[in-house]
Amino acid sequence: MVRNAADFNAFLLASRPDPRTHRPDPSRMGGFLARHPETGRALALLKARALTSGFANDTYNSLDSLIFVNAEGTATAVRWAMVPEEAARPPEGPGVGRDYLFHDLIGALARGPLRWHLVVTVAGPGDPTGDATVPWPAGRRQVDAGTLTLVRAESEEGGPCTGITYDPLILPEGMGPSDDPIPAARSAVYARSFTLRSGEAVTASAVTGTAIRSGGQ
Amino acid sequence: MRPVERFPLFARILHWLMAAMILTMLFVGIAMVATVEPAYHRLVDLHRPLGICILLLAVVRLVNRWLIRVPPLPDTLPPALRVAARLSHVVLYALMIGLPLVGWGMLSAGAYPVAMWPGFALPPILPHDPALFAMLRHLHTWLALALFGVVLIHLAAALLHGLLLRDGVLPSMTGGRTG
Ligand code: HEM
Ligand code: HEM
Ligand code: HEM
Repeated sequence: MVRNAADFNAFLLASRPDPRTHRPDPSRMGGFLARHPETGRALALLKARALTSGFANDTYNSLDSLIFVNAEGTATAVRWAMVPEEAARPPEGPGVGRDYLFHDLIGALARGPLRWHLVVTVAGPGDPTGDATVPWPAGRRQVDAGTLTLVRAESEEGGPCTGITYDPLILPEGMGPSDDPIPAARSAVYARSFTLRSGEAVTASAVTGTAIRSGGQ
Repeated sequence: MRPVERFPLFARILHWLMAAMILTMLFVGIAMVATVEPAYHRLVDLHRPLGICILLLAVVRLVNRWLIRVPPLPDTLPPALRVAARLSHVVLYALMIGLPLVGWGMLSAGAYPVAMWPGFALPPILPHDPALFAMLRHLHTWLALALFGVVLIHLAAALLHGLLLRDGVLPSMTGGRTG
């Protein structure tokens, strides 16, 4: 949606709800979009994207690029997507309760595992690696690099995902950051967030272990 | 006046090499937490191995200090200042060893890989514990600021000896002659 951390900051300030109307001030947002036509184009693409009925049949695209380095030392810029095996279905309107997307996912996992394919898209010559607002042209080489199988859900309550941070620049050997400034900004911001929240008292989880054991009912 | 007794060459080399490294680290540390630009990642990647290098050199230096004869302070120095000089050196050693250990420990407690260079990371020295991570992360900042303060006092003291008292203390570490 934005190119770098400074633009993201400006975007957040522009989309801040007005204290009286509780909605973003259109004049501030308009001003931002006038200065940042790339964000306007990215928002239009986001709006044109087909929504699906839930988490289980959605595709997750990394808009940011990474560099893959092979054993010979050749560096290649890539973007990747997690593409579901489940066929996409259109949304069926809001479900029951605030957390229905979570409960639907827990229910689906109770019926059987869910799989996504890690599809890596290789950059063509001149494709922008440092600007996540610009899509790469269709028809770039794609590699199915592996399958992610989810077999069960776990609550953040006592779960293994709570006490860590998803720093996007902690990468295995052979992968590294590109000139995209967003992952580096996230790395810095997550370190600060992780420090602050790790020092806080633990609060109740929205999706509890009990809710998960009951299969999303 | 008695001829100046100097620190042996190896001790002097370690002192000045580590002084440069530690000052670099303090500024790298402050610069990296002040930016969210790509420099953040490059600076942290430099910060971790350089910090561990300081830890190793500090241990070598401490052992070396036990093996050499440390030049005595001038007799003219009042006892209170002798105690202060000794104490400041103890604190400097404690921080040169403690600060990198806290850095290593906090990343361990936060379940971060303690990456040194691509393909090599140090093992964790503490169990995964987010609350401990938060505590050590703040401790790392406070100890770094304390080191900054003690280094400044140390520098002021060295210049006091070298420029005002003109005794043998500064040349004992620079290897130069008394003025
Ligand atoms: C490519 C765009 C981004 C993606 C895909 C993304 C994704 C994520 C994910 C998956 C998490 C972990 C959530 C969890 O632990 O449950 C997260 C956490 C977080 N994100 Fe992002 N994010 C993006 C951009 C940003 C940006 C630009 C900022 C702010 C500058 C930001 C701020 C945060 C913060 C503060 C956290 C919490 C980190 C922690 O405490 O560990 N994110 N994000
Ligand atoms: C003599 C050695 C060291 C010095 C002088 C030093 C100094 C600093 C300073 C000044 C900061 C910024 C603190 C702040 O303002 O919040 C910092 C942060 C940090 N240091 Fe060190 N440090 C040393 C060793 C280490 C070691 C050995 C490691 C890890 C192996 C380490 C990892 C870190 C990390 C991860 C941060 C915080 C990054 C962030 O939160 O974004 N440091 N250090
Ligand atoms: C990060 C910076 C520094 C650190 C950590 C540091 C540390 C130390 C330590 C631990 C000693 C005790 C001798 C030893 O065991 O090696 C010492 C001695 C000394 N340092 Fe530094 N130093 C630093 C910077 C400086 C600077 C910038 C100067 C000069 C301007 C200086 C001048 C001296 C002198 C003259 C001595 C000899 C003191 C004596 O004989 O008691 N140091 N330093």
